[in-house]
Amino acid sequence: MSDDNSLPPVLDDELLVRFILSSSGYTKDLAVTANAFMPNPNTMDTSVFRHSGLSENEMWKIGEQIANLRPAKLHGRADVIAIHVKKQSLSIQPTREPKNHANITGWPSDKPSRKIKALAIALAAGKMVTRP
Amino acid sequence: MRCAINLDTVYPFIPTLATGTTGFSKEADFIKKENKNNLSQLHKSFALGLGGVFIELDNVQNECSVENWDGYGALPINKTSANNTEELLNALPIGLTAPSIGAEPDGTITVGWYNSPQKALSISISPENDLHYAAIIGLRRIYGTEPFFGTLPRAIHELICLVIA
Amino acid sequence: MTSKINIDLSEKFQHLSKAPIVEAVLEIKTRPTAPWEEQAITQRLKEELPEYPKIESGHDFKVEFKVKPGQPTGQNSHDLGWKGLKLTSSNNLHIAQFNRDSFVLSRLAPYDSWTQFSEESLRLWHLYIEIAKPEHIFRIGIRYINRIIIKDTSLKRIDTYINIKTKNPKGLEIPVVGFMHHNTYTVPGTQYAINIISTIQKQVTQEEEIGLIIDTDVFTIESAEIRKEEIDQYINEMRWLKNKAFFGSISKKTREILK
Repeated sequence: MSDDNSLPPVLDDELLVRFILSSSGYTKDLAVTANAFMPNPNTMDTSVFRHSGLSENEMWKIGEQIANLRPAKLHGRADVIAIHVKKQSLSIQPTREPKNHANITGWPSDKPSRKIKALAIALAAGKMVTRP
Repeated sequence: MRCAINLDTVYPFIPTLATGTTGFSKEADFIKKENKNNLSQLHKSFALGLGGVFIELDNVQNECSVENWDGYGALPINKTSANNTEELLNALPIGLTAPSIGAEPDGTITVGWYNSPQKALSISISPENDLHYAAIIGLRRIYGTEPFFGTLPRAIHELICLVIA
Repeated sequence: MTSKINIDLSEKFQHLSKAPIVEAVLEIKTRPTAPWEEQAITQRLKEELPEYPKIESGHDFKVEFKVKPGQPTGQNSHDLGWKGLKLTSSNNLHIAQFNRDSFVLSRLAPYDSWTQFSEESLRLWHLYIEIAKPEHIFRIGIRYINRIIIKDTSLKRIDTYINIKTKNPKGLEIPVVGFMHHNTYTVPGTQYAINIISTIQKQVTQEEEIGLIIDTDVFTIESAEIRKEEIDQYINEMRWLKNKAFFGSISKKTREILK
């Protein structure tokens, strides 16, 4: 996956979706946790999808496809408005593949700094959205 | 009971039932076992203890024991981190609100309190026994690292009490 | 309101010819800044401490047992990494640990004297500093475990031996068969705290007697500012507190037994 300047940039009011494929991403009360947004330790980015006017069904289909690519269970998703990510001085880089995908990048090198940003985004996301 | 210690009372440290200085004699072993039994008994209480949380820790270890457990390339759980987490849980004062247990993509275990959209605390326990923490309490953002030597650092305890209050 | 405690290092404590100390421990929790490598450190300690010939490498292990209904019990063991070295003296009286996160020296029974224990502790501690080069000391603990053999197995009059009471619930006269008291104290005006655990250990020998255990653990509190150069000052102060705690916990009768 590589980012591409020809892709439309992520606007502040866009809805981003982080599919949660593990119980570590939420509490018993379905509060999204910082774990859901912490970056991949190898690539130092966090994979999200752009809602981009997709219907709920279409969005859940994307989630199922991702879960099926890995042997993982789709627990739900965390929806967060892009401005809450940008407020953490992080970038949101759209990628060509897969469709509607972007990476949250610019994570700091020290752990506590990463955690506070991930926590702020998680709190902005609120409760995990589950399939009806 | 939400917080076992009244913050209005100035304690220079957090009293705990966990054992302090180590020992090698038969008597030291005996005291350690007796203390552990007493602590286990208290933790069995769902009102006062953390009995369910130890089960949650086991479940997280099972769920996150393979590569890519989160679907985004996460590393498997680091066993030393899990072991250190058990020590941390035993160091929590009796009667404290139970935390939720999870894992981060780098394989470290997390212990967290999520009270509301304005109050949350997440702590990762590294294999080197560092507690990396991040807390949001209203407009305050507090984050850093505390070494863990078997007793709960006061800074962490204060954050827990502020978040669960 | 408790007032500040004045530590008087010139105070003399009663010498007990039958001192009931079964273990004395000094533990210093710290973090090395020098590389912590098994081979190099083992070699160094073999050269520097020939009087500690038994060297065991310490790994943290975790053993898990998985029990599921209808399935055979599974066991997994996980090596959590090299922790440090445990060294035992040739007379088996001293056990030292050079760990990644701590230095420990333990003296087992028969106890000699504070001078002997503190000198040996500081000698090995200085070697630890050379090897590990720690920058900060996070905690110092001095722990003395005492076991006093008493022939009164009924525990009814335990307060004739130590300053605790095992009282029955009012209106319920039933025998006490065990207890464990764990008290934690702060020492006002200092950076110390004390844990005192009293309990009994039954069936110490074949005869009808029990071991009354008094475990005093004096330690520095988290916010203490500990300077490496002043370790001997700290441990002497902590020893004074340990003595006050122990002698304050036993009765006149017990002092007579131990004299």
